[in-house]
Amino acid sequence: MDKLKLGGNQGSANKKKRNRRAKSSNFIENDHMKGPNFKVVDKTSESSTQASNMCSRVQNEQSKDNKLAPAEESTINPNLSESQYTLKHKKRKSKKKKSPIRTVTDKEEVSMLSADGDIQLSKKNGFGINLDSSGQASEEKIVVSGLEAIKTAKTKVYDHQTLVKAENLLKSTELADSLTGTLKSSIMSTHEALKEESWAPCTGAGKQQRLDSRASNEEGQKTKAQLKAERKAAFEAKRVAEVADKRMSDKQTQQKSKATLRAERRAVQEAQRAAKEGKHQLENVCPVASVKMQEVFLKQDHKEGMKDAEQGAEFSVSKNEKSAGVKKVHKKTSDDPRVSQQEVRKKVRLFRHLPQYHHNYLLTRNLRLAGSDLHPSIIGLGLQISQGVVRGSNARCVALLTALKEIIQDYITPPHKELSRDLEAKIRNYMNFLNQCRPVAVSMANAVKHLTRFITKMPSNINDSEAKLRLCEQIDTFIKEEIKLAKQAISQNAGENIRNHDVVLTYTCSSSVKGALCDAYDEGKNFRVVVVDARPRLDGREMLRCLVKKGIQCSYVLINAVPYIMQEVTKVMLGAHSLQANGYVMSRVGCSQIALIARAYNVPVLVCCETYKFSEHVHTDSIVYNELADPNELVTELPPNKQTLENWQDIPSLYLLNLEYDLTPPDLVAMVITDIGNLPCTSVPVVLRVKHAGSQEV
Amino acid sequence: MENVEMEKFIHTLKYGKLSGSCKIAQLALQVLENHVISSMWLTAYDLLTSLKVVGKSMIDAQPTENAVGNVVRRVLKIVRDEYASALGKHAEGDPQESLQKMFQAKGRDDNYRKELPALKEAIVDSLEELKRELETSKDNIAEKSLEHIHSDEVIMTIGQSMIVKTFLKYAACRKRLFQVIVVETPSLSGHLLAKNLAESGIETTVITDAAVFAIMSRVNKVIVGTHSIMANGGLKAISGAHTLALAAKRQSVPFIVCAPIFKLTPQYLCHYDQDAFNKFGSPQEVTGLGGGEVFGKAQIINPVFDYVPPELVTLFISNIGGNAPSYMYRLLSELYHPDDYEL
Repeated sequence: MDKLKLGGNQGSANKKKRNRRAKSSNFIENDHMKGPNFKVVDKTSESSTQASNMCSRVQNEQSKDNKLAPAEESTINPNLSESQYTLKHKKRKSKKKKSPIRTVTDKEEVSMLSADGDIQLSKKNGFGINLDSSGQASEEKIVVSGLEAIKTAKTKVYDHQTLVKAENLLKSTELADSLTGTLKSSIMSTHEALKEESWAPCTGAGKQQRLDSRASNEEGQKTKAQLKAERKAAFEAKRVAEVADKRMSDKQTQQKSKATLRAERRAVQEAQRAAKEGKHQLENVCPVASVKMQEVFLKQDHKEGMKDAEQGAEFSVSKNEKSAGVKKVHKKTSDDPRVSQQEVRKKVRLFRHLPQYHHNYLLTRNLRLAGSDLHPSIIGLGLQISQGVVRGSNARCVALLTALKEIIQDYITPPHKELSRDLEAKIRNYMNFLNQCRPVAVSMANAVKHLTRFITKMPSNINDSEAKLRLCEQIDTFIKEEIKLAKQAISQNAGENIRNHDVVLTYTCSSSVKGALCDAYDEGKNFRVVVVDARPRLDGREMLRCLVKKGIQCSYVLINAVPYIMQEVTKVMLGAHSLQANGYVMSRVGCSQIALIARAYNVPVLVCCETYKFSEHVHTDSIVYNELADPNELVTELPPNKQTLENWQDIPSLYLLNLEYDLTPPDLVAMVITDIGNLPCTSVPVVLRVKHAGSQEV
Repeated sequence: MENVEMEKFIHTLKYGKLSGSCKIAQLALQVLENHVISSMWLTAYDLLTSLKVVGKSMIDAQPTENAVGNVVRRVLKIVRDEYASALGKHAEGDPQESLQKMFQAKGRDDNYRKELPALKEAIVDSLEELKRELETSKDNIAEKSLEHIHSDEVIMTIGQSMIVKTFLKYAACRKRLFQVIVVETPSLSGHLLAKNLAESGIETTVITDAAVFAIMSRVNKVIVGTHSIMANGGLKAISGAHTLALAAKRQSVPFIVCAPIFKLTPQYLCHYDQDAFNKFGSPQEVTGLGGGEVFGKAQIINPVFDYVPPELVTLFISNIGGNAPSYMYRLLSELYHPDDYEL
């Protein structure tokens, strides 16, 4: 229960609040004098685990509170509501402990695929979650909890926003561009809560009601009375803040405070550097954590759902970004241009034409949330994709379509504009952003192409709601028919190709192959599976886990041992990222050489691929069109006796290459298993033509 | 004294504490030389018999380490040759007699039972020569690098082979500009090589095992080391070499093997003789730590070697020159006596 107070849920804890009220008058000043907001968090956060878990927890609460809010508001008995609350949180807590990573996607609708294993949650990139397992230095805790505090502040500022007071408040703090400033606003908002409690002329029941709504971050619909009370509270808070400021300026000048801030920042940086020396990963973790914060934050603001509030919120986001940790993170990356330059220089010569993935590069760095028309769900998706939380072309496509659906639902045609034109332009804009996060998958591009074709064909005489309804329907059908049913069809088709006593070799983790194997096993077929895996991702372990859990007899080898194992294999089954019009199969790097070895041993290679992944691209090698993953993946997370290349960036003529895809020539592939049947590779253009003709008719 | 040394060598061999077949070959030769010098023997026959016993015990300590057996065979061959030359026969005679000659021959008379006082000295001299050959083989091969690497070339290699390292560095020291792509292998020995090469100024790129075929289309030459050369010209090389060779063949990239000649073994083993041919490493190298509940139910395989068939090999570069795999049988009969193929 205690832990939950941190994540913007101060309101839920009545006791705590009362304690605070007791020392309310000196609270701001005292803490402010101490300078670092981290201190406060240190008081409240008991361990780094809690602080880091908070990221996901807050998010989860945000989403759930929406649903919970009415129930809590209606309760009159304060004890009852509190106990209920505790119960819920306990439940959540236990859930979280089991799978902290999974919670990241818990609330997103994408997670419906996670059961299928489509979404491969990254073990390495799990945002803040990394922290609890690694139990890293306390500096980290400070940073994370610092950001936590900022976020708390932000959520509070939302509340003001709904009151159209945030701006004034921020100005009144005069320290808007510092962490301390935001801390202050967070404190003030607690204050506000207190004031509200004492000033608002309501009954006990009403108070409880409001408290509960506080607990749910005031996201439920507010009554006018509440609004009034809050406005009053905000006004009070402002006054208090002004007083505090005056007092503060008596004791120390503005400059002085800035100096201390700088010192603080330096201290944090120092601490980080020290921690970095201790632990290699730590450097990445901090920005990642903050990215996570942003993401969580964005989700929150998205979940508010109300248009007006959202606009206001976005404004407040930008305000806060200026003021708070985000800027700090920006500064950290941007005042270190050497890194990025070095990374550019460190690009393998053959692949200079491809964009290099930067682990430390903050995608939202140059993003102005206030001015930009990027929908938060797209930003969230972009970050998830770039961090590898959403991985696999099917998963990415479904996530994109879900995000687009949200966008369409929120969409309002601007005056003097046409829906078909404007929405299309917007989507193009979104795709540009996603392309920056990570080159867009063929599946995504095809899905968007399909959607935009539908949008442009939308008759101009229908009204917005009708159009939106149709578009959402279209998206749903696409997900259902082209992805889900296609997958079922493939697993059925592929399952038919597995016979008793087969030894099926498969590579890393392909959802369709996994489905096929599981289906065949369920049909009672008796076969063995060889799971081949490759560094650095080792996705095959996930595949192995699923198959072993199912009870299928498995062998597990790394890709270098494929020639050894191929003698006993009777079929090779591979997944695909895309099929190109010239019959080349684009899939995870390594597939082509497995096909090559299979050919040498005369083992048939079957490729599972949905027809919506067929592409009109034509390439003949894996170099022109590919994706560069983070080269650091090759050298991180190694046992200590193998960390030879830990400082590879310091050796000028050393390069690491981490490719994402490769192309398998059609002559190495015996058959492609698709949702429309088993085809040879060369049938791709035929399928494309038929599909195109079909869509023209529609 | 000799026994102590031998026991020590066998012990280290058995527990895999030695790495690098060049070193192993040198140590084995040292043991054999000591045996020749210090043991009591009168005739060449005695010596051959006792050398075979010593050799056998060393081979049995680590059957996959072919270098030991090869050195034993070389020593036996030296004894035979020296015996023959001491008898006044032409030492460089063709051991693999032609069919016609075999037809005409009245049966072999060389039973090695004649006592020859000068034999010991001659054998020791020859052994010294062999020792020098082993020591200089690496440099001899490296000197040939300029004949094989042209400027601006892209060379792919796998894992860490000392010979390939010296080979490449020799060319780089002589102002040949080229790029090297190193396949890392699961044991990450490629990282060591890459670091070493990069530090000596060669532009080096590390790739994963999975990216071999994807990159192969831009590679000019594949240069690898090997564990041993089979009698048919095939390779017993690091796991992953077969994939590399197949990819090279597919893209018509020359696949060059650098190996000192003591790696040539008279064994004919290939894919389907995995039990005799291969060795398995610890599954922990594959699984890492943890994940027991999953890996416990699966079969984890971690083979150490790969067989590369001779048709995928373009060229062997050894200390006695460059040869095609099809010529290996001939070298074999020059280096070893046919009676010593099976010890």
